[in-house]
Amino acid sequence: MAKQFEKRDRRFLGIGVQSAIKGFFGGNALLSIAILLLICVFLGKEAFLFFPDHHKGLQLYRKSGQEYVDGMKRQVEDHADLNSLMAQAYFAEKADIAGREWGVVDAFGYLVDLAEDEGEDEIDAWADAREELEDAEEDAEVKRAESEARAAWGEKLGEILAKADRAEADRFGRLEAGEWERLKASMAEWDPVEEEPPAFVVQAEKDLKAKMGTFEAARNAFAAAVGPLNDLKETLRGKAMVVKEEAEADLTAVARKKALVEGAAASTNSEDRQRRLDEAAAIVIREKFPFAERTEVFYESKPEHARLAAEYLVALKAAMELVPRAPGSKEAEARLTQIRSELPDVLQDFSRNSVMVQEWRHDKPYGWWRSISAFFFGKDWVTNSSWHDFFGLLPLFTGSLLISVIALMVAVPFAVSAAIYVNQLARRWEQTIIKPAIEFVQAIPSVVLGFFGIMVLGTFLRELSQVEALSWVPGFPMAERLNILNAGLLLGLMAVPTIFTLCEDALNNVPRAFGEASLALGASKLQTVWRVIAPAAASGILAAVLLGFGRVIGETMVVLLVAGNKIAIPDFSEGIGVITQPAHTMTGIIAQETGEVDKGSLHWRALFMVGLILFVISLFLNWTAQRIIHRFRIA
Amino acid sequence: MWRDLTGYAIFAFCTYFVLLCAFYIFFDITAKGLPVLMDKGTDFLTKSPETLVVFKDEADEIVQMPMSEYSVFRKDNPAAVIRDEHTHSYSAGGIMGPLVGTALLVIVCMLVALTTGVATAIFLNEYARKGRFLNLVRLAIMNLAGVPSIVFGLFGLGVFCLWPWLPVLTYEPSESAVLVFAVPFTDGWLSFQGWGTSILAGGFTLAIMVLPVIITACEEALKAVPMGFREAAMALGATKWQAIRTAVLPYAKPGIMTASILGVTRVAGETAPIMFTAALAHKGALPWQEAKGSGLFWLSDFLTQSVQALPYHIYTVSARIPQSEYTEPMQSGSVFVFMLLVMIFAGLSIYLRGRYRKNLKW
Repeated sequence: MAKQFEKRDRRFLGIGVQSAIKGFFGGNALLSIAILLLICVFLGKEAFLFFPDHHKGLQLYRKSGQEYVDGMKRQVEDHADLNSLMAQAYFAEKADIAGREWGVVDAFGYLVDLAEDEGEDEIDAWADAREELEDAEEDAEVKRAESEARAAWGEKLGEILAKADRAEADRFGRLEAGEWERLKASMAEWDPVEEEPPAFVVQAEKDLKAKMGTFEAARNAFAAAVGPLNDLKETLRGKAMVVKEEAEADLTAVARKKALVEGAAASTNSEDRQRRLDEAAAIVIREKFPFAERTEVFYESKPEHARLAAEYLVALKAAMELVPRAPGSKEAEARLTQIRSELPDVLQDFSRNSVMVQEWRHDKPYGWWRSISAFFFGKDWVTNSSWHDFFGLLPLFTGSLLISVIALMVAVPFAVSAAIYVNQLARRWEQTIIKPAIEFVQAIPSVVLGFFGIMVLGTFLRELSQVEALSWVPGFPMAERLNILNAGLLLGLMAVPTIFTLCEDALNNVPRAFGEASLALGASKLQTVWRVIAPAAASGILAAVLLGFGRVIGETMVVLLVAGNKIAIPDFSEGIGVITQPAHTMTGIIAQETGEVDKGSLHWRALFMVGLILFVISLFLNWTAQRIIHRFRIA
Repeated sequence: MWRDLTGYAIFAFCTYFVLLCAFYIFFDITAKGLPVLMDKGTDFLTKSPETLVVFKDEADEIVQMPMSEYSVFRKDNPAAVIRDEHTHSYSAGGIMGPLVGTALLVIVCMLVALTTGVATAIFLNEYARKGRFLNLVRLAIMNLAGVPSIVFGLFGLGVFCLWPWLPVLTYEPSESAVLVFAVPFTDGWLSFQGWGTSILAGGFTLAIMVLPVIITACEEALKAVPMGFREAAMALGATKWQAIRTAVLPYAKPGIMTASILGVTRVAGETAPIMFTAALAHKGALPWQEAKGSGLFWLSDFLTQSVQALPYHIYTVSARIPQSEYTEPMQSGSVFVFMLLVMIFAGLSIYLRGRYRKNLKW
């Protein structure tokens, strides 16, 4: 031992062994700083290269006239939303005030379709026989053949009617008692060649027309109002596409030409060389793509657009006039009220889009601020599209935020209560069981939780949402199994251990004298916990919640598996029911798309940009939590 | 009195409800996975995932066969009646490949993370003086702990997979290599071409992710060694390093062991960081069956291969392939085995730490 502790002071290059060892350890400690910086550099590099490219893409979007066409597209789409409401109103009204007639006509249509489908051969045979009979009325042979064919058809009809399924013919239960039988009976009289419907069906058709005629006309006029505008949009869309493709090809023209010439030089096959040279010669290299010339067609279409837009407004107004003031159905009334209330906004958007379309100029410079805000506040994340790729963060951010908020709303009460219980109220043996058990919960891998969400929780929630007694809950019954609520609940379970552990630490840090003083003053245990200990630990609890939030918003696998992965801003019009919709998240999009994009492409950089934002969010939450702990520390 | 009791009950309910939920998840996954494991036996652990072929034979009975068996069967019975044939990817065989891959990733990760983690902890606890540098290091560690795992995945992809200035030993340098040296006495090259999607890249990414956990746990272990031990060693004339080596590290060893098992628990369960850095949905052979060369070249080739990994395999079979009843056994079986493995490590770390803390009464 003595030898081992002998002082040695060897030096190498003037550095002592001791300081070298210290340097080694210090270097390792430096590594964590270096990694943090490297993350900043690597994410930041890709992410900040994103903006120039993104800006260029948006400039091309304007120059090629795509922006111009999209202005019209938005007008058409807004109309389509109203139109679907109108259709809902129309069908609700039809079902309510003319349900019986509609049912009769539909069921009859079903029977006729079935008969013509199944009995096609018999009908044809009978039709032929009748034709022959017309030519030769006296011929006994022909007469017999005709009656045989008629009998065959009658037999077939019997089979068909036996097969006819009432549930299929009258899916919404609109037929009144006895009518199904009446319809079936009337089929025996029905002539498959003349195709004349029986009198009561004709009557039903007439009644239907009388009751719904004006509404139908209104609906058709409403749907048709946007037609010409849509046609114009479709024509221009194709043209803008061509301009964009050519302009993009122009960007690579020099490189392609060079590659072809080089390939030709290296080629040994003379035919092949000639082909390459020809191809190279065909590539025109332009100094500048003639956007002004190519987009003339859009400028020329501006008057037409103005005219069509004005016509649309007139047609829309006329169609709205036709709509019945007092529909018989509550549902239809609700939908029509919705249309009337949304109409001013839609019209405002319409005129704004019209102005945008009219003022569009291909050479108006695209502002930097606009292209940056197009990323942060853009409402679309559309990739791999042949039209234009949009990189808007908002749908992903909303999804992440909604899921995290739900997770916290679930986790915080449970985690904080559990921490208070374990730290203050539980017996000693309970503590020794609960604490490790909660650590076990923390160890459940997220992919396992996600699997559970797909297989068990999703099905359970959906079945629960279909229970009649719960239909008052907003968002119930839910359409999708994988949705925000499902992901939020699982993430809530995941966040409990994190928040629990940190809360427990915070409670531990409350000086014992606080509790003792309170008890000595005669407060009960629960009063002490609630009025003294918990407030004293409030800053620590807040920090725990923030760190839990950081954990939840950065979680990937659960949201990737369970959130439903629908890239759209959830529809908030349902209020709290929004949580039963599917969504996509920032972490999910990175996990899903990074593996499949080309390195260095705009899409790739957009994903790194999303990563950078996640990184910044997590740093900010961490920093705030530390500040809170530091600031409100009890001395 | 009653109000107190109600409050008490509410707090207790919240605590036990969380545990009940977690317990239900364990129970449900075990109930689905255990029968699969019983049914398939050791095959499930010793075979790699395969495509499952399902068809009806002449007696109209549904037959399920792994692709490899099926091709042999077709060759042997060319006249066999086969109807309604359809295939399900990854639904036959077992999870040997993913298990091996996860094990390799964890080993590489722990080698890297423990070396740096222990060294950092020694610096922080033994050498560092209070000051700006120490604050900065602590801040960095704290912040690193909060970074989302998917961000580590992106970082690993950028640095370990695609950054070309990382060396490999190879017989055939890639065209994208930035610098190539011939290695003397062999016909191989030292090529700076980046690691690509590989065990190495995945292991390093995981190591960086788990570093804060390891550092914190190791520091705790070092702190637990009484100051007197160091002072006594120094008083006997030991240098600082000698004191650490002889009087601190041996007593901190159990704590460091615990830290490493805690690290394994964290790392084995992660999917996001290895998604683009190491994991592959399908791979025919096990890594050592494909590695070429000898000596260090073999090792390099071995470590720069991509692998299947159990969590990624679960993601693939439960979300990326069409779902059917034939895929379910594979899903439940792999999830069960995976959960069991992670839970065993978690249990071990909790147990060891408990025992270790109890024994820490100097």
